[in-house]
Amino acid sequence: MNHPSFEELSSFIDRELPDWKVKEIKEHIDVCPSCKERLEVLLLIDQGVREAYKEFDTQTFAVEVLEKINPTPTKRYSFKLKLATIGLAISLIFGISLGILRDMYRENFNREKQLLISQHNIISSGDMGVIFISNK
Amino acid sequence: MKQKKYKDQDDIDLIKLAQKGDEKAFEEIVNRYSNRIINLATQIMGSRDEGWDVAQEVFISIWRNIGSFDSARSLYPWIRRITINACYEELRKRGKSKETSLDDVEDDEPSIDVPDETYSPEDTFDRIELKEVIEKALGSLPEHYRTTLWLRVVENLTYEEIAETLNINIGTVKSRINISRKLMRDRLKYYLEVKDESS
Repeated sequence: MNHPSFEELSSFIDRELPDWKVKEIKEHIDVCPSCKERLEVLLLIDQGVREAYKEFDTQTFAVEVLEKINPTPTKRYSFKLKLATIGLAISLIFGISLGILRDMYRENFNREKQLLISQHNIISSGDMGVIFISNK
Repeated sequence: MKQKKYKDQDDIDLIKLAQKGDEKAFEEIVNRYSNRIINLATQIMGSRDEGWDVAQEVFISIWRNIGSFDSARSLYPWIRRITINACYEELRKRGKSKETSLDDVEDDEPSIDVPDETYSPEDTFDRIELKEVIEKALGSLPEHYRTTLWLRVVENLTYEEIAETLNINIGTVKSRINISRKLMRDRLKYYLEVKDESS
């Protein structure tokens, strides 16, 4: 037979030729070093293409897919957690403010108490900070 | 133990479980086919990151439409077809003509680096793996040629199956494969000659 064409060799390695043609090409290749070399180049290309197949991190891939399909409750919990944090912060600010106000009130009360003491004779003092006084 | 249970299931059983909302069964489907799908999407999109993203969208879409899957059909060809459509849709949306025309490719200078003359052929082959050269040549093919060759060589589809998958005729499949191999051969020619001389 004549030298097989490039297309015939390509179909030959793809097993897309009728049996009689496959037989003819096989017989020719056995006796024709040049066509054998042409065939080897094609086989080398296919081998290289197969080796371009990569191994990816499919575990990470699966985790990411599932996360997108069904976002974990962690996200909903995070939102609740955010709300709780904001609530706690508001309570803290409120509490601290109350404490400051109370201290200011006490300071003012003590100042007035000292003023009264300086202006009056102390007759007696009792529980609960009650002071019995008479004019000096 | 439970995971093993899913690993042992065939596709049809996994699909039936996933259709009932079993996420673990779906996870097994993802584990089983994601590598092939990421590889395929990477080839069509032309980059690993884009391939990864499209492949993820494919599996998300499969989960959402799993109820419509006819379990009498084969699972993987269905996923593959969805992947190809998703990639083409993505390329179309971006208006991205990654698809260089064949003329462009033939007129272009080969994208393979020309070896430095200070190196002997042996050195050259020590430095540049043939595998990398082929991979680069594959990557420089126009998208539709690369995809067709990939389906033939890696996915091991017949011309008829490729035609059906890509919705083109067998003559086009054959022609794309022949042109792909010719382009690859031409781009590798220099290296193959050097290899011959050095051996």
